[in-house]
Amino acid sequence: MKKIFFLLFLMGAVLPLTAQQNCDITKQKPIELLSAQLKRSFKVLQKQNPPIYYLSYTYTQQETAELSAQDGALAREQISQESFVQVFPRAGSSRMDNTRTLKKDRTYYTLTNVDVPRWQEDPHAFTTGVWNATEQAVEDAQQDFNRVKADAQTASTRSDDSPDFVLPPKETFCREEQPLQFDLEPIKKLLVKASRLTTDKPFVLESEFSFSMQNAQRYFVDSVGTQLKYPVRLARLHYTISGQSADGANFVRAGFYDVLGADQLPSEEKLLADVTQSIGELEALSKAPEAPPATVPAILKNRAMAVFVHEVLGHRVEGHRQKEDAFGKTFTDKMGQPVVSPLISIVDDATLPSFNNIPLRGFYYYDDEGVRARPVVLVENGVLKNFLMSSSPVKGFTASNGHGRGAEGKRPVARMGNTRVIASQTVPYEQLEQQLLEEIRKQHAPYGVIIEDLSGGFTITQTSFPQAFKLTPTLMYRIYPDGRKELVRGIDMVGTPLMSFKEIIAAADDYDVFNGSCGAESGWVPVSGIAPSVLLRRLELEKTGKAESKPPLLPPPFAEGK
Amino acid sequence: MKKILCVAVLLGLFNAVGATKLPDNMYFKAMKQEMDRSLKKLRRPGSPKPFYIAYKLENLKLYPTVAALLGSSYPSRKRDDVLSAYAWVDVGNAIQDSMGYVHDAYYAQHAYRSRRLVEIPKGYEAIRQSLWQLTDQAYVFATEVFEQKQAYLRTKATDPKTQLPDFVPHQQSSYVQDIKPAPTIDEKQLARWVEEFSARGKQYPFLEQFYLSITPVQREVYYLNSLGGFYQVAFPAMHVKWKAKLRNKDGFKQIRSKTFWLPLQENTGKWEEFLSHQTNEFLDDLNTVYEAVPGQNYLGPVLLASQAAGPFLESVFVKNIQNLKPLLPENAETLEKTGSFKEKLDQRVISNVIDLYDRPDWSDYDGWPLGGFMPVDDEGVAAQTLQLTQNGKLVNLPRTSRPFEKGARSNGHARLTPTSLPRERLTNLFVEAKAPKTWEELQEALIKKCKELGLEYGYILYDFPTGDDKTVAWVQRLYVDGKTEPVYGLQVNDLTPRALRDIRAAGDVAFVTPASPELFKEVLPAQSIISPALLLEELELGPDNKKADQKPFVPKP
Repeated sequence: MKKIFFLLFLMGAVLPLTAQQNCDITKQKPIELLSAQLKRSFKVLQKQNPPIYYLSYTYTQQETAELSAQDGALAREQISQESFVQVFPRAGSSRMDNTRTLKKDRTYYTLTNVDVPRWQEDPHAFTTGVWNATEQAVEDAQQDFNRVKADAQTASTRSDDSPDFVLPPKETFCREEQPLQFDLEPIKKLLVKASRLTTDKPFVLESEFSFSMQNAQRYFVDSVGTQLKYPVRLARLHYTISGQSADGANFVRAGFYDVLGADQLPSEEKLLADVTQSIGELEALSKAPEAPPATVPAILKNRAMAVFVHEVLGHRVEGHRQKEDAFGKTFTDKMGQPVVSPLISIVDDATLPSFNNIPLRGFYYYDDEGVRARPVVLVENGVLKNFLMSSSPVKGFTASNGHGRGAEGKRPVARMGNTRVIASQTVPYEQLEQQLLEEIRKQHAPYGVIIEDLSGGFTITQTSFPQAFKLTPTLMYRIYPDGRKELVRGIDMVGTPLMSFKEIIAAADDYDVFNGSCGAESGWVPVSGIAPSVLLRRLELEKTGKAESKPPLLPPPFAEGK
Repeated sequence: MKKILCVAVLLGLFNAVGATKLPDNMYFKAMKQEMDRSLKKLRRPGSPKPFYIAYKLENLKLYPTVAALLGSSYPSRKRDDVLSAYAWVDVGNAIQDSMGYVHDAYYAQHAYRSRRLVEIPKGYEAIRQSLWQLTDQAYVFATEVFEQKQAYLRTKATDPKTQLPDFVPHQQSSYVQDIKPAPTIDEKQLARWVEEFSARGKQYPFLEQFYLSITPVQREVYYLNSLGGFYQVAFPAMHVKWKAKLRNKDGFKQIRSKTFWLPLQENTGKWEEFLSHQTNEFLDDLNTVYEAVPGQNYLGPVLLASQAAGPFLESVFVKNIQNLKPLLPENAETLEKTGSFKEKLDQRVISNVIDLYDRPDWSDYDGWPLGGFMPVDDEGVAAQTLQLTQNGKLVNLPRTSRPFEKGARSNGHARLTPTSLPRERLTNLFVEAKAPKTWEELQEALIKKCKELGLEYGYILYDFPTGDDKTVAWVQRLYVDGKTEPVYGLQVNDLTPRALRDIRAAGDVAFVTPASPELFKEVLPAQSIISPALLLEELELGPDNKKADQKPFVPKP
């Protein structure tokens, strides 16, 4: 019963997508121009040797703004209007094409992505630009296919011989939204004012206060007949403040505010208070003791847990990592088996635009291969159910589930969107801390840790290295059996994926969002994670890396004598 | 001890000489304050303290680039207004300091670089903060290099009598140009021009791309060193570029471009006719590129049009007369080779039909902006005009405060660049023809020479390759009967400085070529070459052996 309810909940999230269309795709001039050029090109290109058996165009027209302030002044103000087209031809056949990862040579993930004139002013010039880009892209694709063929003849047998591509279903979708509107002048003043807070602090080495905004209209057509128009809207205010101790340890505190309108931006009072708190935390970190390596019970706070899931599990369930022999394939043969604590379910749901009124950066209507976004249950009650799939099939998974993503100019591979952790049983956070104390006492551990914040980290998925992860907490407390807390520094979280997730023994009801950007083969894409705080029976901690150089000999100029 | 005292006296002396008042702006205020603080307090225990600091702040304003492809505008890309800071710190003393040594030749590009920060906020406090970090990094780097250099020198046999000091302080100077805010440009007018002019490309069906961009730029530089030298200059200009892509009738892909730097002024209206004319001329030239025939091996007289003469001189003269003081150790010259003309003083290096000058005092030539304008060099020394060659002999070399010959003094030609420490550089190379000839006379001279040699034709080069690709982009045969024929696929073979002695005549109209060893040459020209057309007695050309490209998969829309 519980399972059915869960699925219905997910279905409910996906069904309304068709209802969200609010314009007529057949009346979109760029679609008309792109389709005509695609039809004209594809007819000829599929007869070439090697043939182009699939072709897509992604045209983006966008306005972006970037503001940055440091030390009481504006450092960057860039406002740009862009018009560019990305061409993705596939040469060969869906069985083997130019996108196959080479075993004995370097694989390129780049796609032809070039500026073109705006279609509004001269459709002929726009089409000429698209034609030029197509010519270049096809040449590159054919060359890559020849490299793939040569590699296939001499490289060892692939353990997963699934085809390189499955044609995506034909789709049409048209949606327009009001562009994001921001008055940049007050934002500039706010950033400058906030940046002044750091100038007289001797322990602050660098700081940056920034705002970025993207208002894009994207058009997609392909040789299957898919025609899409949808907006991409992102805006965020962000700051980072960093310092370094004499022994080379680095500290960083950061704040992020993802918004979809000026009314969602933090007030001046709120931002200055947050920055002041971050400065206080940084100062405390600069004086905090260095923690030794240990294996202890731990709480991962909600946002830290979201990063943990993203790095440790999320990347390992990306479809292409089950296929290529260069990857460790930690979960490839674990379908239907328990891989994490039965307390936990994990869904990647790119259709979710916001959570608790926080816009999610991993939201999208269609992925970068023209496949409709949909929620994908990755883990249900601890059992692995699915992989994140692009249009590159793997054994047992023959179709995309709308997770083919890539940055501009990068070939899409399977990536996360909004990765959501759902706990079947939760307690208030305060109770979770009590459970941590009980666990410390039960294990006779000298202390436990509470990881408040993570700056990110990395996970190794290649076979040539251990299948391990390393994440860097930026704010972490030791908690002693008597409940006393102590800020510590100099420690990274480490472990292996199969062990670590089974250590989760309880979760809180304090779901929160981590909005970020994720970098992988297909470039940087915006992602989100939603998770509750969790209690781990044990977590391994090891020493973090330090800078080789000392901090500056003199104090900052405006912190002399402070 | 005596030696050190002498240097200290000299340093003190020059501090006093550089007495001109610093400009009252946040750039100099921040540089002076942080420099004073660093000189007074910056000291790593066990290491020498800084004895020389130089700062350079470079503010680059790039207006929206207006570009068009066959008549339709691209949206304006990023508008940049970027302040960068550079810091150089020298430790040790003037006899033996920390500069000019590269610990690891493999990492020369990094090790040899000044400490640099980009995107510095434009505020006094923020500039101070940036200079604080840069100075610290540069000082730590200098102390490390100083120790490495000392260790290296201890492995070498040195004779104190012949050993040159690392640094000979020279009287400091200053130059302050009144920098006005970058003028407001009528962007709509520029957009209209690029659309209108690039649309003319539509009449040429063989053109696959035809692109015109106009980028107004204002570069402002603020320099201060701890000996008291300083300057403040601006380089306002408008970068205009045409670019075309085509496949000639034999199927070879050809990319052609043409560039000008125009003065940046509020009233851009007067350039309309110029741009219109240049567009038509470029399109006419493209027609000839389409019709061109393949080149064949050739050894004989060649006429370099004025736009080819600049790059030619850059390849065979400018590169050989720069970076004269060798780096240590000997194998460190991976980034910038020591100029071979260091050993050629008073020797014949060039034909006597032209004399060469370096003119750091010129900010423009006949209205064309010059990137090499440098009244004071990057060691605070007044930059002198140099006659480099006289009657074919090399009579002068650019010099800095870092001598490579005993007794030599700086003539104000030290130039810092983003990738190097102060080394000997030219600024604006000016070619003076002793008996200038008209373009027609030069062509007649080429024909005459061909006839003497029994050649059917000679070549006119409208472009000269300076990079790794030796193919000449734009070349024509001139037959002895006066007929011309465009040629493609020719490259220059075996070019050496010996070619300078083959110059037989020079034209009467000079062209300004931006030249620079720096990155981003098109955005930041740091040198200019002002040269007329040159007739060479002999140059070797040969086919570049490139293969024909396939036809487009799909015909142009």
